[in-house]
Amino acid sequence: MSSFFWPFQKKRIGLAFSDRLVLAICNGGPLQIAMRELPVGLIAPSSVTPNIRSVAELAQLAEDALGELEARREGVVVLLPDRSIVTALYTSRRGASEKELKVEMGAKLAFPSTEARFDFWRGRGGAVLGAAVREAVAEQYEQVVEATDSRLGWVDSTSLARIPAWARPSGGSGLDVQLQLYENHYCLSVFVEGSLVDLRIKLRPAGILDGVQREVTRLPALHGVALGAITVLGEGAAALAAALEEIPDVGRVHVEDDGEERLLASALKALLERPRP
Amino acid sequence: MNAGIYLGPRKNVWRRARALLLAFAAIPTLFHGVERYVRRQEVATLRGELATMEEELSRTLSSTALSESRAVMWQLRAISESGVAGAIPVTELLKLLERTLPDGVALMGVSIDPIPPRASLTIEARAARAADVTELQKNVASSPRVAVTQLLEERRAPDGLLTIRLRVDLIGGRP
Repeated sequence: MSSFFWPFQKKRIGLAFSDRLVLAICNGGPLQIAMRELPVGLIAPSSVTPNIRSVAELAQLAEDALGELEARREGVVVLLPDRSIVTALYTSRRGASEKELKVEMGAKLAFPSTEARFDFWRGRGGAVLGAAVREAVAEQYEQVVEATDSRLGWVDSTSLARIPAWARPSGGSGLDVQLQLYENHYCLSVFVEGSLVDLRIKLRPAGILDGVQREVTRLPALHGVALGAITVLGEGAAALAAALEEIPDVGRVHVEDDGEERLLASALKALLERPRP
Repeated sequence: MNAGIYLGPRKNVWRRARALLLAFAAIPTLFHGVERYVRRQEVATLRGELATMEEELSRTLSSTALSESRAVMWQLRAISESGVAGAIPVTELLKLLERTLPDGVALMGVSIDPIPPRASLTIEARAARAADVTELQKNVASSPRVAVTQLLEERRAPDGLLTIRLRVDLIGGRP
């Protein structure tokens, strides 16, 4: 509604953290991207233990990246590493209350549920995507953002940021598979007619794609639906797409955003373009 | 359907509501306080101005007006004794002026024109307020010896006091 009265898009900043880099983007004009490589071990993503070895050092690198962007640091959207959060997918939970879901998800956490922040996203067909982060873990990233004189806006997980946008009927038949590849892990999300039916975030040895390929191959048998469109994004996307095209009866295979940096930038951009709640 | 997963700090609804309520309660109090402060400032300023004016007025009246009034009385006595206005009983003239001068009006001068057919006085006086001038005119006009009064001049001097010249026609031609 605000864009109707004020058609000019305000510049906003997004900041994504991974174990390899910190990446900042600014939209609301030509997309600006700034990135800093991280020393090994500065961020060690974990849902249980503190992730950041030195908040001050990471804040300095984030400040360097943000310094290249020309925008006010208000409502900065932040993407946490996937492995810093715990996710769960509940299919057919249309009537479940948030309280019930919290109890259920909290029982499976490796830390006390009282120390967790939960949120649930309700998709089509009664699917509920749950995410939890330990307060101590999230607070470290928030301290980094605050140390750069930025005001925190939306906080999400890297691979979950685009799921609401993907959960729309594509018009095609079969499983709609989205693969987000990072250097050390991948996220596989599967949709049927816009309904999220599968979500997996798994570790993978750097550069090895066999496990991912096998996972995709098993999906039709698991869900009883043939493969439809497959979109591969991120680190080694082109190589995996070439391997997937060799699977018999596979649908269309798209490659987008080859490289982890572009994957993070696209996730941030999607988050920045999402209408504010 | 919510927009997506939000893992940021939780907004404490109760704390925000309480802050909002406090803000609503504080706004009128704040306005009231500011209004009171402004009014008190105005009153203090007015009080200061009034004190200055009173001080100036009393200084002006006490230093000059009283001595001038005394001088006019000596003039009147001299005129009456010289016989220029011999037809006017001196005591009556003094009584007329004494009765008609209200508080706050200083007599500066009196000139007598005894030429027939109608004798007249011209009174010069100074007053702090316009209301005192009106009072003077009323007093003079109510005298049984006065036929007509006419304000010949009224101007405000640089010191803030009103200077007037009032012509008084007396009854009976040659009084």
